[in-house]
Amino acid sequence: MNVLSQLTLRNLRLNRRRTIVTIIGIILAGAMICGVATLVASFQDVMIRTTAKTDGSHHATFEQVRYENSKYITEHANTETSMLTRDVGFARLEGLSNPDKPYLVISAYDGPAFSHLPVNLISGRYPSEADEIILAEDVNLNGGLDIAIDDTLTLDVGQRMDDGVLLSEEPLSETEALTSELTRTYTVTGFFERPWYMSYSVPGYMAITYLDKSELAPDTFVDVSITAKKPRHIYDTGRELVATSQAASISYNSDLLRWMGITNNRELGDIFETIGLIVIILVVIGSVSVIYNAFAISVSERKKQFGMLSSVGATGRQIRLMVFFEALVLGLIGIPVGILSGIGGIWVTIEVINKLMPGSFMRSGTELQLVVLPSSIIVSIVFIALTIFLSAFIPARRAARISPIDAIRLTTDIQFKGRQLRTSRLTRRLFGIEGELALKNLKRQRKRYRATVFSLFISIVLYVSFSSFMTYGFSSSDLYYTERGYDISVRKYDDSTHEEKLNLYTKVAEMDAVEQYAIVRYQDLITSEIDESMFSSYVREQFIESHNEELRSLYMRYDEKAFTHSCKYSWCRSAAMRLPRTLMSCSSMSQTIWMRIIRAAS
Amino acid sequence: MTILRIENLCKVYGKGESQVTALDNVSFSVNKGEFVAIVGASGSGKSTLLHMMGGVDRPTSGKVFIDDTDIYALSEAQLAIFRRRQIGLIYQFYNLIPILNVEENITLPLLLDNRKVETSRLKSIIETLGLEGRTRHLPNELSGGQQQRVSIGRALINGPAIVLADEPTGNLDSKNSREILDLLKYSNRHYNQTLIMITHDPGIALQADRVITLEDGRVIKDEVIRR
Repeated sequence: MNVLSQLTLRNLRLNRRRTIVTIIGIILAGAMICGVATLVASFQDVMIRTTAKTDGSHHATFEQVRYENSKYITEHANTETSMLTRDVGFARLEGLSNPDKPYLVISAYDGPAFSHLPVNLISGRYPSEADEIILAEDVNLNGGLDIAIDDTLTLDVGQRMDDGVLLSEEPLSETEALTSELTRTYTVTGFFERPWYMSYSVPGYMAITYLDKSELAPDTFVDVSITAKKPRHIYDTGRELVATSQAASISYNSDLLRWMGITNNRELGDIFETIGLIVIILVVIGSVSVIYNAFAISVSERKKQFGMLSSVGATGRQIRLMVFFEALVLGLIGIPVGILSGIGGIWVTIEVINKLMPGSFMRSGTELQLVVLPSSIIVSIVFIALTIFLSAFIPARRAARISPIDAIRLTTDIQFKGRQLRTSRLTRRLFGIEGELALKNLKRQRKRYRATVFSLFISIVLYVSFSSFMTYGFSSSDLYYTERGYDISVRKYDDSTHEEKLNLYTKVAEMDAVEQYAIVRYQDLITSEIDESMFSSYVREQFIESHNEELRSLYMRYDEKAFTHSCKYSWCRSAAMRLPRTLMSCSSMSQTIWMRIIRAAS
Repeated sequence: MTILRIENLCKVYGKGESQVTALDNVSFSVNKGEFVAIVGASGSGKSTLLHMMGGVDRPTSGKVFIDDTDIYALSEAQLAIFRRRQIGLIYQFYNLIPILNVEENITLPLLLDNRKVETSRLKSIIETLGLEGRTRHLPNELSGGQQQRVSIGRALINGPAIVLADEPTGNLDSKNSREILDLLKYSNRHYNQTLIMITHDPGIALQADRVITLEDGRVIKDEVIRR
């Protein structure tokens, strides 16, 4: 090892306290950067797993493809797994108690489809023969039947026709009838959770049978879902395959793809990565200010040494390298420790989160897991190395510029002019001679004084910006996920029809003062004869205690959209998620409609 | 043979009213193997002159040639390399690196050059300096006289073109002063080492071959004492 490196190591050892402080600074920076990267990766992972569970793990679905054309999709180079599904039709099921839902809505899935599409089995097993079937559990809960596994159902399957019009998911019409396509006896092999995407207005309960490819005619229409080998290219592959397979349409599992960081909407980007990057940059700025100071002080304390080295002929480059070598040594110790402690910290955080929210993240039954990606570690190393380099750069240049003459002239006293040290008489009066001495001391060491003020300043700025970033970040995501604020709610309380109500709202909307408005459509489910014991303890504590009267004649109110997006309002979310399923056996349904003026001119 | 040539050297500190002329058109030359003493009152510009000759500070105008090299025409990095190979500097306050031991301090110019240390030369220098058994000591474990010997060793290790000494005995008692001066004279005789020394002690100055007297930044006397 060369003499200057040895010198550096000895300096580090002699100034043990500063060395440790600098290493701690690097460890903190590393821990924060690596922590942010790991947290982002872990959240991304849990979001992907959650979305795969609720929306399926497929990437795209080609709808209404002729079976003979499906090979173009299943055999495409970018197709990893393909799954076939088909809408079989409707079958009347005797004994259903809900007059609005007399049917089973039957689809057929092949093996891969069961494992990739969001069918959450509650009991039993998936069908593996064309005469096996699984049923949505609400056929018993809402439909009032008592079907069990291994029961057999003989069904006449057909399509809903109403006056020559084919119906699919429309509410029940009084004049409709079922065509007859086939009659089959199915064995029930299991029950699955009522899928969230199934609209409540569909006049039936979902049932899925096994799709036997040998029964498919070449011109039968099927839906083909795929996972891609290269998900990044799914949008290109999709476009290409729609054309070659003559699919009627394509739908992407865009929520899943978005969490995977794949989007065809450039503006959206990946929100997590952006937030992560902003936080990392804030951390880098903060760490640079701390680590920079450590190097600056280290260099200024060794000014004489650098000057002496220069006088015996050390070049600027050699001295610069000396400072960078110091940075390298500190980095080699600090970076691995920092990264490990960052990962450890996030591991603890995740454990705590999972303890606080046992068994579920976002109510999906998936748990947050620590995900350490090589890329997070690489990103951390790059950013900390950059931080250290930036911190050492200016001090290194300053050290290289120290001329021998500076060292020769540099005595232990700091040189100054009397004028610089002048303090006002007020200082002495206010703080006494001690205060005056302190101020003179600060003025004497302007550089260090400035460095201190700068660090303080940066820390405060970082603290404020970080906390407001978090606050605004959370409130804006609240805005996104929950109800938006509004100024005035307008509601017509009478027996008028929807049209009449809408007319009023339209008139209000035309008023000058209204800048932005929304029409809200609410679906009321009204049910009776519910007693408290039917609710989970959570609902009893949180809800019934405080809304006792409302619950006597219980009505639950759901936003129409909330049904399809698993309830946007925490009010009904907590209730709906934990209410027993009997609540769905509502005795009547009605719709109300009102408007909200989100922003009105004052 | 001329080893050092100074031409119309000027150095001005500060600007405007507070301007101070430290060196005013100084010219002289020194032959190889000469032992020159530069004397003058405090503030006469002798330290400034030494720094100019040592290539550690830049003149306002004028030139310094060492071994026919115009040292201020060199780049900063070239000058640093020139300094470590051709100039030995000895300061009043030794300027040793406190955390390097005696041997490392002496060989520092070689180590900076990534050159191998010639053991026999190092050994002979350490013997001449009387530092046997002290090579592993740190500077602060040595007396002032011993520290100055280390800095002499550092100045001589490369066999430089000139050795510049700035009041090398200024911080020492008379016994140590005599020994240091004897060492410098020995190197001058023994290695034919060119030696330029600043002093304000007339007794020391008289031991040199030649005495240059400075006053207000000008050479007012340049006399050869012995040949």
